Amino acid sequence: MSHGVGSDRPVTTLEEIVDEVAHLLPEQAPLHTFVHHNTLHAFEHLPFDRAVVEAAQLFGTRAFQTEAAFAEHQRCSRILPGDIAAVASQEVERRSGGNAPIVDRFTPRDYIDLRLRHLFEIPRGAALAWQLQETDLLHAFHPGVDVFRRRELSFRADRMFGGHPTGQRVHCMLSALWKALAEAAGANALEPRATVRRRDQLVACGADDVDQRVHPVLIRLCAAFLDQGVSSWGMPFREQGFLTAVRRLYGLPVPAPDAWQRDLAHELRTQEREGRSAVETCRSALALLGVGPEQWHTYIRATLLCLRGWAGMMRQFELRPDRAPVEPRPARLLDYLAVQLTFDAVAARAALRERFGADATWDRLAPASFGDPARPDLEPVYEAFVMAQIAHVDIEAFLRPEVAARWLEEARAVDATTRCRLLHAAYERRLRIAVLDGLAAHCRDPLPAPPEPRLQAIFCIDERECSTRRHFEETMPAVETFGFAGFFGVAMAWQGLGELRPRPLCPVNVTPGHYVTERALNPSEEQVWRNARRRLGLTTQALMQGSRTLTRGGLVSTFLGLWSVVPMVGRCLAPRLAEWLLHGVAEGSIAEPITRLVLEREGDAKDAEGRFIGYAVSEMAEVVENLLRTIGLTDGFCELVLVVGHGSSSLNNPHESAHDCGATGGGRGGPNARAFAAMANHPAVRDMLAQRGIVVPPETWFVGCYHNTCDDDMTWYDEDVMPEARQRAFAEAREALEAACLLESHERCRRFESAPHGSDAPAALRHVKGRAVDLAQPRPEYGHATNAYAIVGRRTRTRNLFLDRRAFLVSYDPTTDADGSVLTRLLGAVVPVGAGINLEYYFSFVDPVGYGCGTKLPHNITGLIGVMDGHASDLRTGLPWQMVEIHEPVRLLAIVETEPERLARILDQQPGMKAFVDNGWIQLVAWSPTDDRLWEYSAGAFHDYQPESRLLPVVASSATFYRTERGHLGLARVLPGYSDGGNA
Amino acid sequence: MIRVQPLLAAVVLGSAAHWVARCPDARQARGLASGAVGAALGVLAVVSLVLHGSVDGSEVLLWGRRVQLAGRGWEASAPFVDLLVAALAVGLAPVASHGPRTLAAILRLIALALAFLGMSEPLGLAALWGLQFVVAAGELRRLDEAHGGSAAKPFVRYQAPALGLVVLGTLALLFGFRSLGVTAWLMAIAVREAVIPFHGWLPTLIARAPLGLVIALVAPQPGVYAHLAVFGDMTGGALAHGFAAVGAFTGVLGAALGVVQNDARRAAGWLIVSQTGLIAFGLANESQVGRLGAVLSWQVMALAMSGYTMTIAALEARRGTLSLRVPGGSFARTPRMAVAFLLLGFSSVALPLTLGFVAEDLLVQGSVAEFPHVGFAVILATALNGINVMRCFFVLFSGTERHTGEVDLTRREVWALSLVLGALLLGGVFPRLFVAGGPSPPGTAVHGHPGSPSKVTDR
Amino acid sequence: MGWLEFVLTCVVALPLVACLLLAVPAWFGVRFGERVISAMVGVAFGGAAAAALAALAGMLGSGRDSLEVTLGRWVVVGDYTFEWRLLADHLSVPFALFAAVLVGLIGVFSRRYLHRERGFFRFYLLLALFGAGVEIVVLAGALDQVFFGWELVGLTSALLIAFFHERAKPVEHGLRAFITYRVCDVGLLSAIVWLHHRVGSSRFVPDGGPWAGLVAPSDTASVVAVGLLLLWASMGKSAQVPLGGWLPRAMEGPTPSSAIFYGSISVHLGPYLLLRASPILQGSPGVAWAVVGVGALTAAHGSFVGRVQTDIKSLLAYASMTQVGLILVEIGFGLHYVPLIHICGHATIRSLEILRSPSLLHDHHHLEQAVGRQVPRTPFHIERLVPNAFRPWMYRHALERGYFDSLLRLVVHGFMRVMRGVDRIDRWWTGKVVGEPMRIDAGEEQRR
Repeated sequence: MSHGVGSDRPVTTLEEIVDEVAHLLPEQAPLHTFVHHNTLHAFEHLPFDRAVVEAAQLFGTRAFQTEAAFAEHQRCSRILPGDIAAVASQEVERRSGGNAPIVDRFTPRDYIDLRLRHLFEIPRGAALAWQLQETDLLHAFHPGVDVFRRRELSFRADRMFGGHPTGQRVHCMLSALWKALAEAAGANALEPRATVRRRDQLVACGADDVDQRVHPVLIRLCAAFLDQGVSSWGMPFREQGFLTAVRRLYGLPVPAPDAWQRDLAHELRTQEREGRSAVETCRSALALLGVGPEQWHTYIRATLLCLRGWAGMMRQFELRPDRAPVEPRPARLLDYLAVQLTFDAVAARAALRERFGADATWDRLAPASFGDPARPDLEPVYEAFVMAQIAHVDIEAFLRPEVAARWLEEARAVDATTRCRLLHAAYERRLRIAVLDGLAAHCRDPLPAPPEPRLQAIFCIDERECSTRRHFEETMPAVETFGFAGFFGVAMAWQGLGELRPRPLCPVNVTPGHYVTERALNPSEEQVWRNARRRLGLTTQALMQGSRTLTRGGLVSTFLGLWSVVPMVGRCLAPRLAEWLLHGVAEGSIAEPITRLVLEREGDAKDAEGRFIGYAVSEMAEVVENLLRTIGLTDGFCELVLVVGHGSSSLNNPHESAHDCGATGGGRGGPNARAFAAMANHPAVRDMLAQRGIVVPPETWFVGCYHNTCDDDMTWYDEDVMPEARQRAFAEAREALEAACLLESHERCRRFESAPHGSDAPAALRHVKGRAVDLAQPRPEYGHATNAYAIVGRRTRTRNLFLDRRAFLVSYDPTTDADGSVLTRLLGAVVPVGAGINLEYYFSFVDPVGYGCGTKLPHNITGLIGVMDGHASDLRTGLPWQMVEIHEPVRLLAIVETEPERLARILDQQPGMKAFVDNGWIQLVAWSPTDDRLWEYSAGAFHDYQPESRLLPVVASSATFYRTERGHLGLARVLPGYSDGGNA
Repeated sequence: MIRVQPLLAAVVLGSAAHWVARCPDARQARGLASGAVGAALGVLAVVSLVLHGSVDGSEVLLWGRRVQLAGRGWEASAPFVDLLVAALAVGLAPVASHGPRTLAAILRLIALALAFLGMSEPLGLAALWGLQFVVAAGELRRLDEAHGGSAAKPFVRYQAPALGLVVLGTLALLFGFRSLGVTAWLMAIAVREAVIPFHGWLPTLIARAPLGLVIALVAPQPGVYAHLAVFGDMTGGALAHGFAAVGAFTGVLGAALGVVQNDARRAAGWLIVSQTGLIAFGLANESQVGRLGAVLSWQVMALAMSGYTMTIAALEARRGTLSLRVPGGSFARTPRMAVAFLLLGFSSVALPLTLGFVAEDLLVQGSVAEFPHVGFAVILATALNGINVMRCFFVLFSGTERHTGEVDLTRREVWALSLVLGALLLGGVFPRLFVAGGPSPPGTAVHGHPGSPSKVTDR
Repeated sequence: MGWLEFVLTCVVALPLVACLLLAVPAWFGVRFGERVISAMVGVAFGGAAAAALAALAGMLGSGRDSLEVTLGRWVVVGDYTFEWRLLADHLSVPFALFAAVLVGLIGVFSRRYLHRERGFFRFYLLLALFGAGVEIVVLAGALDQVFFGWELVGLTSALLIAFFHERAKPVEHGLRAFITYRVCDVGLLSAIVWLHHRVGSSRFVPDGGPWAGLVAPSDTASVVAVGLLLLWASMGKSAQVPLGGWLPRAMEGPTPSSAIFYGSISVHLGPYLLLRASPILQGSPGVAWAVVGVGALTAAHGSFVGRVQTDIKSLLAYASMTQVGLILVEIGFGLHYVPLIHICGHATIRSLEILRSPSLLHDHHHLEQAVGRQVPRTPFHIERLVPNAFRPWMYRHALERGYFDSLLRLVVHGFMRVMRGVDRIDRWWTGKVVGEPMRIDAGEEQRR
């Protein structure tokens, strides 16, 4: 009775199966701590090319961009003929068949090359028949045939069919060609598609869709269980776990109108009475469904994947209760599975009875086959037919059956998946060459050294700070910038003034061991502030939430409702003004008290979660030392060192947190920068650093600040404790960085289609500030979109190089890292983070619906944990289309400034990373610290890279380079000393 | 009485059919047929304009017969409607299912329908009725033999008795057995209009035969014309009321059955059945408003349902069999086809801004006095038909992003549909183009029927 | 036609012209840019709003309580006339102004919201058509014309719910809303026909109340029938119990369209219709009580079910339903201006809330920080009055949305089952006549 449920796995326990399948579920935490990760993390043990194809089959998604997209890339020279030729050669080498000619002297390599350069839509089934009958398919040459070939074919037709009227000859030739190829194809029955779930089999038999009954209830229950505070009436019994809560609620003997719900109540009561555990429940439900243990794995996988968003969220709550936005829930994936299987079993049995009568068994379900009955497989014929016209081969040869068959075989071999894989390789190749050539050219011809730095600044490695740093250096040449992960080594649980609960501000894989909070300098001031804020908050709450209830809602909407015309008009017509009036004025009137961090630990005080409250001096010194050594800043300190954290704040954006700093686990890095600066300014820390060989001169002062990447606003911390003598330098630094932010907003605006193109920088800044507070703006910023490469090395070597906001810039000094331990540590942190961001963007771009969460426009926030599409859908994970639409889906190109031998040695020491790199989830390049040589890593070894071009555009300022362009830009050298502030 | 314009157009189409049947290639044949329809439209337009402007009295006596030169109201527009139906049936016909001989049969059927409009004597009508039967049955049988189908049988089983009834009715009328004649004719009309329980052939035929042929056979609705021409003034009375009740019943039941179909063709078939039922109901009305509503509905239905059905044909040719079980189309892929489908479907079920709205409004308003309770059946049927159309639209054009690479409407198809949509929408905004001048003096029959020597009533 | 009549005509004409200018070129393949499209709609509704304001000012200035414009006779057959008349009075002008402003604002808002969206044009065309439909409903001088606009509103609403047509759910929910509308429209059309039959016209005429209303038929049975039919009509559009299940499901379209349809304008057309029908409500206490009953039941249901909703859009949908129910209660009690003000206030506040719904996480975080404790904490929970033992029952009841969906499903499935049975009988019978079996599915029939 089992059909299509094949399984080659040994029988294991149900728990093991669930644990294994759980890896396939989306690993996305509740939205407020959005952390980028590889969407296909469960497939990392496979080579990238295979993984994406296998995942595509399992999830029903797309592996690469569409052929139409690749055709467009070729049209606008994003992919060049040379790239296609290169990947065609590689593909032929990879194949076992060799490059023996197919017909005449036309080889498989020529075929691949030609096929990849001629991408056309292949109609299927009836659409193809329609084209044959209703269009000029058999009457005129394909539009892809060039003019020379057209002439050649016409001559040929005249020769072959001279006896026919002139107008008919081409038709005769094409018909003969079609006939020959179609005969070679023969009839080909499509294999019936195997179905796993009972629901699929039932639907194929014409029964009602079981999911239509089960899913709405299941979604409602999951949402109610996990809800963090949308509903005002929480689910009863939820503290006892999902399974118990569902049993108590749906086991109630309610006269429900749906028959299957009455059965369900009975079943749930039985379960509760017998006290069945989740595993037992799963087993009995599987038995009800008639699924034997040998099929459990496949069945459970198919079951969990059909609502994978919710299943994944259950798993996330189970694994990381600390990431719950408000309060954790006792969620277990097994409980969820037990509920889902029980619902499925009861509803499927009901559907079976309805369809086949009261005593029907599962045997009644015939093996389902979708697809058409046996018919000639005409799609490859169509491809072969078009290609035969395009390829410069003797067309008469195809009338020989063996040639036609051989040609058809080649057409089948270069199927859609193969084509996309090769085109993707070509697409990546072009970008790689552009970057590596640019880097080589830039360092071959060094620019004069920049002036002696008067200021140093440490930024996040984020590629959004890449351009901020460039603009900073352009506006203030005497600055030296560094890149370090945006938590600056301060892995803490942070609770700001007025926040309800601490949140971790550190990479996700780190559990913070320290709790840091802030305290107002003047407690009475704080009280005034708190009270004022509470009054404002309570009023807002009374109006907003009150309007949703019955009586208060009636009063509010009758008496105050019309007043909302004012915010409505403001929000629609002048968002920036409206935000200022509605929030800025009210909140601005409440003066925020001056605060200090509670940073230094007294004794070994711990908070309720067992975290140290604050840092000991030695721990602080360690944090500071680690960072300074990694970025290579161990001497030559300037008067001021800025530490710039970043984050993003926007309206109309459930994915706001995805725009925040990834290194702080989707939090805002300001407090980390502030804490780091405070640590580095601590006299005892300085003493300890000096003992360890890093002498920070007493006149050096660290300043923490925070860059809002959405509206390019800067916040400065602890200005009041800065020594008087540093104030002048600080004023200069502040002015320069704010000018850089201005230019940064100018550069960002070029990518926003709705921003005025080529406007001046102040207008651009106004525009981005408007975007951040606009309710109607689904793309307040583009986040990490466009990220493509990571450069680990000294900034001096990439300074004055325009990298188009696409590079993670990680500071690393190979000259001070004798044993490579710094690099090992650095790569261990940078590779997963960079690749995680990069791959998430890759997948959300290539399949915005399957891997991403689709368009934002219908999104509906549920339970404060995620978004659904509209009314009641699966929880949607991944990135929304509006966030990724300008992205180029390429794998991260990591360029590490070090000798290839050292890099190879590090890889050998880190088997995890080596497997990751070997499987091609990231592209790795070694860059000589001394000259312009580069080595590409492939097939387990480094190969010398030969530049294709030695030319690099030279521009007076970045603004002159990017100003006129909306699209992606290549590398360029920006000559120092010509900065015009974006007004040229 | 004889009308000139429809006969002229019939001659153009009839002679073109001869050449179309002899074309070696289906695409060529379709081109020729489309050209012929265009030419007929042109001839008709020119002649109508000339006659409208120059001839003062609308009728002349010729060889002792009254020949009408300029029609009024629906009399003037009906030939245009038939030609537009022909434009759709030919212009949107996929060549795979519509070979040269099928196209020729379509032209002949339309030519006969036009000729139908040209005369009003029962004898002539009966002859044309017989010819239509011969042409349609012959073509269906030929197709069955060529492709192994079974479309001819249901058609013949239902329509052969109907033809017999026509002959009987005509003879009875000739020999003065009025009530027998009327009853026989009405029965025949009921079968031709697929009024329940004589409807079985229509959903079957639409599921099995080339849609262009079905449309040419069904959309001009010769039965309605015969009803108007032969029994134009037969209103009130038990027979008329019985006919109305059956019509209303057909309207509601057909609409309800249309909603539960799993096949786009059959759903369209029931939509047609339901609407012909409503028209039949309206025709039996005593009130002038209701009868005008029925006449307008007739024209709207002819235009809208041919467009709707032929859009299904065009879609089916591109996508294969159209099941309504699972959503299976992409609006983005064929937006024009989808929009045309929706507008045509909705204009047949009274979408505001289309002529259908006016037609239904008149039908309902007119009938409520005479049939206060049955009148609501029309409202219910229209509501259900609207649900049917929307369901088909959603299932056929949305619900998935997969597609087979189908292509949107071709230029020829766009033009054919534009003409029809233009007529329906223009009529929706300026209904007086269709309504005015028709049933002018109150108290006389809807179509002004000055030809009938004596009132045909069975009161 | 005086200038006042002219501006009043503009309120209806401008949106229609915008539709025409958008639709006709599109059919012939002319594509406008986003700016042009949104500007057309924005200008049309801005103009309509200005015209409505001018009409209001003109009426106030000249001290007239109402203003009628006869645009012409559309159909004249015998003694039946379909006449296009616009009616401006204390009810319609504020409503028309308000609707034009809201549609215009949403038009401006959506230019940014739907920027780069593939269905941009479709959205604006439907929005303009919807706006035109609303203005027709509001300014109609007779129930016939109300029906004209009413249908347009229903159609555009269904098509906008199914805006994201590539997924199955929006389409399914669009169809569900459409079916509800269509079934309820039977009520409106029947009422019209009955009024024509009994009164001779469905015109709104001044009757001494604050605004013009329908002329009630002389016999009580007709009054009750017409009243109940109109109530039925407004129950569908305004998502009243037991038909309201489509409302939360309608939140499938882009947020702005949800805001304008289900937060503000479309759901309030039901109350509008009942306000116009106040003479009939006054004529029959039974009908008035029915209105109160439906409204009260809906308000209680909405408020109760809304409490357990865990997604913001459903929450707002039930909040909408609750207030519309209250408005119906007010109308049933014979109030005039209170419901009008309630409608306008509620419509603005709710549409703004729906527009703001994607910012929930942001707002929640801020609010929580400001009040310094976990939200929501509504001070008074109605469910706390329920004894402990009954709470799970009540919760389940609320989670299942009062089982109204299930009941409706039973009705619909029953209908489908019966009709399928009839269909089978029909096939059997036809098969007998023809002499061969008839099959059910596409493709099973032989064809070429």
